[in-house]
Amino acid sequence: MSNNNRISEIRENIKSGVISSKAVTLDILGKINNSDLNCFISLVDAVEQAEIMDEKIKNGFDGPLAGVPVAIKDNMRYKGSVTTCGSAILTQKDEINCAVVDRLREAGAIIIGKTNMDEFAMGSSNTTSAYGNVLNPVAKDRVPGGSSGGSAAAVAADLCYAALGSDTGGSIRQPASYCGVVGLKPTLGSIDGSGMYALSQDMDQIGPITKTVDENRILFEVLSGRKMQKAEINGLKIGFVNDFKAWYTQDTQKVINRAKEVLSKIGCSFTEIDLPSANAAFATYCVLGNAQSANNLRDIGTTAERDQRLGKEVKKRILIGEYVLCHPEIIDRAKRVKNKIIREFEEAFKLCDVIVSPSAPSVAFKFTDDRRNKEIVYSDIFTQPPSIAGLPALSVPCVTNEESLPIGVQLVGKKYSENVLFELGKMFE
Amino acid sequence: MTNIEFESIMAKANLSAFDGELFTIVNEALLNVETLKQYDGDDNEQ
Repeated sequence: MSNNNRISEIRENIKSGVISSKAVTLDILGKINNSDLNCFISLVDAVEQAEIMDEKIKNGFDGPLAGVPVAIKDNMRYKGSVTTCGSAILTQKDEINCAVVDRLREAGAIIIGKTNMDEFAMGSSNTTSAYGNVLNPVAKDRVPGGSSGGSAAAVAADLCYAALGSDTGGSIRQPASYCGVVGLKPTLGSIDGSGMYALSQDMDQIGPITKTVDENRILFEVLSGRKMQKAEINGLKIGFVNDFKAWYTQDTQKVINRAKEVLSKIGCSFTEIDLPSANAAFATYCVLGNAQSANNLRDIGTTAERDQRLGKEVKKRILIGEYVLCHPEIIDRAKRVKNKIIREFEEAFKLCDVIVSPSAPSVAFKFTDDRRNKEIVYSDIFTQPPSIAGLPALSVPCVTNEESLPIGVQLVGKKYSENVLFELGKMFE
Repeated sequence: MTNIEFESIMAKANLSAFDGELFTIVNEALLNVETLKQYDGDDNEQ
């Protein structure tokens, strides 16, 4: 079995003087420079950070990420860098750090660079970035998912020890599933998102992407300031969503089968639950998310700059947003459906402790695949409902298909039950 | 959405260049939004 906690291992090696943070950082930078995956939009002052960190460690500094290179998605501000959000329209240097950058730095992390993403986080394939497509390291003819595709691909390709993504409707979990890594969308509001460019502040949530569940827990503890308590997982009640069944394919049914196999070994029982409005999450997200996006982007650029520099997907979404803002009855309806989804989850959690589904309806699709395919249009179908309800959800690699392409299992818990999700997630490793 | 309404929305979005493809794509997306009506039943009064 591979090492389940490379972060703690490299930190220990740095702390004990086996290797310096600078050497680790230079090694990572070398890998990035030799990579053709296009995971990064920009690199930052990592060597300088590492030199300072080596001195601090010599003087007794310790932290859970001391000397460890971590990447951040390029919608998070980093003082002195240009945060592009994957768009050609943003060119100003940042004057502040995103709050999570300060958290990482306090824990000793080295910020290695800023990862590629769908423009303004609008997309699920990382093909809408003005800085080019990111290639999936598992199969380079396939998308890495999105919008945090650069972060997921960078972790999968060992171009950092961990990366931050942001997730509004599935933007951490879906690329984690496509790239075969672990991604957490924490409980809404549990990590300070100030200093990040907002897509839809009612659903946006920063979260970690790592190779393993243990590493993800370390990052989450640093970012949230919450120490995860040991959770009892033997004998939990697991819910499977009836309303998702119509989406299951041969590949995704394998996820359900393996989940039952793994979880039955620790005495979990299974029940079927109903989320009848879950299939309305896509349209609900479309209305509420795009209305906020239109507002958030309204003051960026002149008309000419917006015409020339914004991509088609961004224009589409802000036009939908402006349309629904002119029709408040549509927004009111979407809010009622959102409340219905929230209540259905509350009812479901009276019958079970954790809800399990595939993270995505398919494996990563090819760049050349027809984007009108159902599994591509609705690639966030399983991830959007918990996002709308503000629930924590963890995607862990679960199965591979006949072409050895990964699909993750999504574990959805009650609010602030990340410790339960981490314990359960480890069972799949 | 009509052409005229689309142009008005374009102006609100601070965009000027009419794009026929976008007009079609946005209208298709708005059709999907219509599906919300079928989920908005007994909560109408709230």
